[in-house]
Amino acid sequence: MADNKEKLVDQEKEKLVEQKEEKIAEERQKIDTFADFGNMYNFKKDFTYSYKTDAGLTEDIVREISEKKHEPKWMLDFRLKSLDIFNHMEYPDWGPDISELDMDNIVTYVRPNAQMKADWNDVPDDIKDTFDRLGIPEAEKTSLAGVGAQYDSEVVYHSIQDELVQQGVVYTDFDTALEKYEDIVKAHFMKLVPPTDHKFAALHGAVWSGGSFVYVPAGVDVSIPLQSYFRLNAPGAGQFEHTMIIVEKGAKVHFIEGCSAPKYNIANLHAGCVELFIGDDASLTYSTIENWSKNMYNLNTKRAIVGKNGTINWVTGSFGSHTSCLYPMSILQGEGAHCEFTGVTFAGKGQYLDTGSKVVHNAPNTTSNINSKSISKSGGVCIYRGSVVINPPADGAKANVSCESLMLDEQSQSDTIPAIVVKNDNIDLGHEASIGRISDEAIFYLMSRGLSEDEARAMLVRGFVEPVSKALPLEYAVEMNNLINLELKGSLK
Amino acid sequence: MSELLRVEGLHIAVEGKEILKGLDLTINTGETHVIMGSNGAGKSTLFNAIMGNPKYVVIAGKIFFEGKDITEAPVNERAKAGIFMAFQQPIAVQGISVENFIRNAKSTVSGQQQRIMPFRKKLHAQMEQLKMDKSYAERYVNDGFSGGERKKTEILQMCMLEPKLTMLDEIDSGLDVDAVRIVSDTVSKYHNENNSILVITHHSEILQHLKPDFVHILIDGKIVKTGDASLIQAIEANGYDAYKG
Amino acid sequence: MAVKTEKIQYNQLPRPTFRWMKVNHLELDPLKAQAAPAYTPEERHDGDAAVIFYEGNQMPGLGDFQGSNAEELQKALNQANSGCAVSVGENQKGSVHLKYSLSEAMPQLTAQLKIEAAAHSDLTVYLEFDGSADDGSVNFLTYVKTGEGAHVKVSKVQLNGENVRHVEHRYGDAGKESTIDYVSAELGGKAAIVYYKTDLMHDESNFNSQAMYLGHDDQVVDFSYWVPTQGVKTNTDILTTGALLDTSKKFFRGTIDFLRGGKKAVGSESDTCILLSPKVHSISVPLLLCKEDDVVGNHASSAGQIDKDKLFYLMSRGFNETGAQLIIVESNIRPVIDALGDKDLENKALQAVREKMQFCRKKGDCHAKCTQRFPHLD
Repeated sequence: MADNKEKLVDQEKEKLVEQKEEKIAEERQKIDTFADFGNMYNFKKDFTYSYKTDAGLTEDIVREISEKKHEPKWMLDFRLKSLDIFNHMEYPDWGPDISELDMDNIVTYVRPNAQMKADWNDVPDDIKDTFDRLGIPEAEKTSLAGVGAQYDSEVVYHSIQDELVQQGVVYTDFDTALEKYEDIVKAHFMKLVPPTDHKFAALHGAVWSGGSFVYVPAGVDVSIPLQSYFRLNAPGAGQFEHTMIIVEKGAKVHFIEGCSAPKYNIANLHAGCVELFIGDDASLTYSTIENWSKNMYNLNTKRAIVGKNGTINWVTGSFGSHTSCLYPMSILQGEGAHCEFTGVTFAGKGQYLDTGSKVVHNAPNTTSNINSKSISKSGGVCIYRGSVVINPPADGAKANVSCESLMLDEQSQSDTIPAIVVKNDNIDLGHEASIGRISDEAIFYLMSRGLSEDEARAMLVRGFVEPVSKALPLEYAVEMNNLINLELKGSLK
Repeated sequence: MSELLRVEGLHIAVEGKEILKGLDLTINTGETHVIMGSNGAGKSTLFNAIMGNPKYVVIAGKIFFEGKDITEAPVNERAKAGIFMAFQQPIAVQGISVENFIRNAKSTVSGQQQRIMPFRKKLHAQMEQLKMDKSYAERYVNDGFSGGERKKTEILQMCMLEPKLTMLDEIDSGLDVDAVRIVSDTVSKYHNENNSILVITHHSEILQHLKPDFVHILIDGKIVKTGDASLIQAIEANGYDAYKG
Repeated sequence: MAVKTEKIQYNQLPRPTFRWMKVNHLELDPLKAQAAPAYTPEERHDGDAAVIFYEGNQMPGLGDFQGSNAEELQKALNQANSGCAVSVGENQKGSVHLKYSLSEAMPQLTAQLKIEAAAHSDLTVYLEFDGSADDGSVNFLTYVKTGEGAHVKVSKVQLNGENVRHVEHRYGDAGKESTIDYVSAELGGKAAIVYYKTDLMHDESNFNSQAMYLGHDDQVVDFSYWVPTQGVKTNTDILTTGALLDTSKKFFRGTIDFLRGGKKAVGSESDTCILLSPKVHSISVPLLLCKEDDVVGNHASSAGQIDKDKLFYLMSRGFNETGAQLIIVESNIRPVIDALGDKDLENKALQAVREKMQFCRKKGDCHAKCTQRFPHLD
C-alpha cells in the first residue's frame, strides 16, 4: 500500500513538472513572437529541461531583493518567472567547463543582507600591482577601496553634463530608471535577451541588480563618450548588472563599459545583461575593456537590435576572467542596418576565454563586418566562437568575417569555431581565419633594426591588436596597450 | 681610413646546405663595395650572415666589426653597432605605422628616446627627399606597399637610423628609372667618409650613381676576383663565365 | 497521440557550438529496413593491386572512430552485405575500379571496404555508386591505411538515385611520409552524407581532399571532415566547392585539429558555394583547433550568387542564362572533376552536373554546344 501511495505521489509530481514545462514553453513562445520586434527570433531554441531543482536560490531570496528595491509588482513577477525558468533549464552542452562554478554560492552573492567584506587589503597583490602600473591615481584607488565600505551597494555614476540633460538625454542607474521611466523599462526589459535564452539569462532575470540606463532622444548626437565604471563593489551590485541603452531615430552615442581597471570581486560569477535598442538611422558604439580578476566566471549576455540604416559598433578587449562566455549579438532588423565588430581577446595562464560575435541578418541590404583577434600564451585558451545567420528576408546582405589567432607558445590553445548559415541566395559572404605564431622573418626584420627579441615580439603583438586600439578613445587605447605589455612581460620566449 | 668590417674564411650553411665556402672581405670606413655574381652564388647569404640571421649558420670563420668579433652577436646588437641591411623583400608589419616603427628603432639604436615632434620633422624631410608622400608615415610598415614603395621605405630607415655600414640587397630591383635615381641620389648623399656602403645588384645603372671603390665577383660561395669599377664593364661585356673555375 | 519517431543524428561536430543554429549535426528520419542480400560490386583492377571479397567483418580496430553515426557504423561493421579488401604490396603500384549499384532487388547496401597500401606503394581506388530504389540506402564504411611513403588515392563518383540516402564513413590512418588523397563528386542521392576522419599521427604525412557537389530539389549534402595532426610537418588541404539549386542544402563541417607536438604542420580548408536559387541553405562550420604554436592554419569560406559581370560577359557571347550559369558553375567544380583521374568517371560526373542543371535535358542546339565544348562527351 505504502509503495502505491509513493507511486501516486511521484506521478503527481511528474504531472506538475510537465505542466510547468508546458507553461514555460508557452511563455517562451510569447516572448519569441513579441510583436515589437517582429521575427527577430526566427530560430527556435531547443532546450530540454532537467528535472533537478537547483538548491540554494529560493523564491524567498528573490522576493527579498525585489522588496528591498521597492519594485513594482510586474518586476517581482518577472523575477519569479525567471527563477522558475532558471530552475528548470539545463546548462549549455557546449563551451567551457563551468563545473567548478559554485552555483549554490549565488545565494550569497545576491542576498541583500549577506555579510561580505570588500576591503582594499583583501585585494590580491597582483591586482594592486596592476593598478599601480596602470597609473590609476591614489585617489581613485582610495575610492575603489572605499566603495566596499559604503552603506549602499549600488553603482556610483558619473554625473552627466547639464547640456545633455537639457537635450533630454537620460543617463542613470537602473533602479532609478525603473522608478522614473517605468514604462520605457517595462517595454524593453529583457525583451532582447529573454530569460528563456539560456540558463544564465534566466538567473539574471531573477536576481539582476544595478546597472546603467541610457536614453538618447531622436536626433541627438552625444559628442562625448558616456562612461560607466564597474568598481569594486559591495555584494550584489555589478554582479548581475543590467544595462539598457535606447538610441532613438537619428541619434548617436558612444558608450564605454569600463572595466578599465581590474575589478576585484569576492564572488566569482558575473552574469550581466546588456540590451541595446538602436533606432532607424541611429548609431551606437559600445566599447568594453574587460579585465576582471582571474577567478571570475564571466557569463555576460550582450545583444543589440538595429533599425533601418542604423549602426551598432562593438569594440571589445577581453583580458581578464578565469572563464568567459561572451558573444555580443547584433540583430539587424531594419533594412540597411549595419554591424561592425572589432574585438581582441588575450588569454594567459589559467584562462579560458570563449568569446566571439553573433550576427543575424533579418532585413534586406544589411551588412556586417566582424574582425576578431586573439592571443594565447602560457597555457591560456582562446576560443573564437561566432555565428553569422543570413535569413530569407535579407536580400542583398553582405557579411564579412575575419579571425586571426596568435599563439605565443606551445602550451597554449587557440580554437576557431565559426558557424555560418545562409538562407538567401542574393547575398555576399566571406569568411577567413588564420592561426599561427609570430613569424621568424618578422622578428628578424625588427631585430635587424635594433629591437631586442622581446621588444620585437611586443611590437608585433601591439600591431596585431592595433585595429582595436584604433577604435578606442585614446586613454583606453593606452590602457589596453599597458595591459598587453603587462601580460607580455617576462612571459615571452 | 680605418677598418670597419672584416670577414675571415666564412663558411655559411642554410638548412644544412653550405652556401658560403670560405669568404674573405674587408671594408674600410668611407668605402663603397659592390658584390656581383650570378643567382645563387651566395650574395644574399653573405648579407644575412653579416646581419646575423639565425637561419644562416656559421660553420667556420669570423666576422669583425670595428675590430670586435661579432660572429656570435645577436642581430639587434649588430644593428645597434651600426650595421644596416636593406632587405631584398622587406616584410610587412601589420598595425605598426612607419613613423612609430622607425622612431622606436631609432630610440633603441641610438640609446636616446626620440621626441615625437623633432623626429617627425626630420622624417618628413627625408621622405620629401625620397619623394614619398607624408601619408606613408601613418601607414603600417610595408602593408599594402608596392615593391618600389617598400624599397624606398628601406632607404628611409637607413637615413633615419644612420648606420655605419649599409648593405643594399638589390635595392634597385622593381624600381623604375626615376625611382632608381631618387634612391641612389639619397644613398650618395648619405654616404660620406664616416660610413660605408656594400651593394648587391644585377644592374649597372645604380653603380653609375654610387661610384664603387671596389667590385667583388662572388662565385660559388667565394670571392674569385676583386677589382675597381672597371670590372663592371668587363662583366657587362663577358658575363661571369670567364671567372668560373 | 502520434508516435514520435526518434530522429537519427549524423555528422556530429567534434566541438559543438550554439544549439539554436542547428549546425552541430544533421537530423534525419530513420529509414525502414529493407532486403539486403549479399552483394558483390563490379570490379576490375590493374597493376599489382589485389582484390578480395569477403563475408562478415574483417575491419581492423578503428580506435575511437565514431563514423557519421555510431549505430550506422556498427551496422556497417557487423551486418555488412558486402565486404571488399584492396591492397598492394611494398613498392608496388596498382589501381582498382569498384562499382556499387542499388536496385529493387538490392535496395540496401551495407558495405565495408578496406584499402591497405604497404610501404612505398601507390594505389588508386575508383569508386562509383549508382542505381536507385525507393527508400534505398547506402551505408558504406571505408578504411584507408598507408604504410611509410605510400600513396593512396580514392576517387569517388556518387550518382545514386533521387530517393537514396548515401552515408559514407571513411577512416584514414596515414603512415610516415605517406599521402592520402581523396577526390569526390557527390552528385546523387536524396541525402549525401560523408564523414571523413583522417589521423595524421606520423611525421610528414599528408591529407588532401577535394570534393564537389551540386544540390538540387530538396537534396541535402553534408560533408564532415576531422583531421587530427600530431606528426611533425604534416600537411592538410581540404577543399569543397559546388552549387545549390532549388531548395537544396549543403553543410560543411571541417575540423583541422592541430594537436600538441605536431610542429610545422600546415593545414587549410576552404568551402565555396554558389547559390543558384533563393531557397537554398548553405551552412558552413569550418573549425580550426590548435594546441601547437608552430603551425600555419587557414580557412576560408564564401557563399554568394554568380558574379553578374561574369554572367553578362558570357551571355554577350551568345550563351543563354542557364548555359552561362553552367559554364561558371563548371569552372568552379571542373578542377575537382578533372582530378578524378579516370575519363569515364569524369564524363559521368560532368553529365550528371549538366543534367541536374537541366542543360542536357533540352535537346538540340544546347546539346550541340555542350558536346562541342567537351568533344569527349556524348
